[in-house]
Amino acid sequence: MKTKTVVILLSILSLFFGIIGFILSFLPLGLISILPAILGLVFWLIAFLVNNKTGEKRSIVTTALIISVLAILISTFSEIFIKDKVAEDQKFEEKIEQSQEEAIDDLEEALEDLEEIEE
Amino acid sequence: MKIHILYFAILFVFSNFSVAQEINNTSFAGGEKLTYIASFYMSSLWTDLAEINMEVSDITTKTQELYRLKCVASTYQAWDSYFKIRDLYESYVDKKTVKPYLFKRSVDEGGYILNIKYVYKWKSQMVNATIQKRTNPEKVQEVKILPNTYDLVSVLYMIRNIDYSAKKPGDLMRINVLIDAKVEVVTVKYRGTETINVAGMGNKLCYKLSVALKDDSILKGKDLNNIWLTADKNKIPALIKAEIPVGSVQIRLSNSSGLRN
Repeated sequence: MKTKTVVILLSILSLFFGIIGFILSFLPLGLISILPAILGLVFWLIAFLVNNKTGEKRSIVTTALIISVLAILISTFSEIFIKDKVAEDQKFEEKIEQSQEEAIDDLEEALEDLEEIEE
Repeated sequence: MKIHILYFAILFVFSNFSVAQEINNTSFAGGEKLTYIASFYMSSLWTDLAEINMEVSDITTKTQELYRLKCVASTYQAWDSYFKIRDLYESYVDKKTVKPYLFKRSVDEGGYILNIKYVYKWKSQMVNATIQKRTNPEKVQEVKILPNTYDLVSVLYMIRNIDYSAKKPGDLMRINVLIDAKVEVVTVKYRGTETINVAGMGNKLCYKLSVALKDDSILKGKDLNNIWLTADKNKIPALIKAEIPVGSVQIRLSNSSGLRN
């Protein structure tokens, strides 16, 4: 196989994993999204080393690097600076309160039954 | 994918506790608040998914004072757009014996709605169960129960009142728990003590219990579903690990306040 073909194949693989990592970096998956990006970086490195022998410049190799690095940066930033928190949910809070109010009637029914046992 | 985090978490902990002795609550009281982080195992890494809050409060009816045991599970904001969970589990129990009188479960998981209510009739040893799924009409049925039948929430608090210091590793306990309007038998095995790292408490000696259900469709395998209770007077659930059909779930204590002891 020609060196050029190997470089292109490796770059495509790098791009593929880089793009997956890039997409996942916008999801709340924590460090999981970094894994495909690292794989993308590994393929880029091999592509870069092989390509160096040819002495030619290929834009696909550079693009693969940029995508993977971006994915890693976004994932790392999200993991460090975006803290997990539960959104305020007024509707849910009201539902919780209402549930307790409604429970009182049901409890009276259950406790009446209990009183009969005790008697 | 219906994760039912809180459901699995609680479920994996129990159901026919053939407890010969009457439970005498010395482990929790009104005002106790426990916060947990629920994580899901994906691609060899744990991903934090939701927060679970467990709270004990006092409730006064015309004739009795009870505890309201409230468990709320909510997904983190970042997950709400993909799979929003807002679950509420409540159990109203006797303050001394943790005997349940009313259980309510309100599930909203990614648009899946489920409402369950059990009103205990201890005189006739029956439960009036009301179940409503999605927008279907309510189904009401009577379920025969055994003398020590708990629900998914009260059982979590009940096991905190068992004396584990007298148990040997390998000892089994059976607990009756009402799950989906059926009395299920859960076997709990005492597995000894283990020291684990607990948020805010450092390294803590814990009682390790494993939980198994007859039916493997909810919980997988033997000794794969474990709960660690702090080996002190409060016996707080510090860590829960469960194997469910869609993966592994871990629930770890992140904060606690208002402890009884």
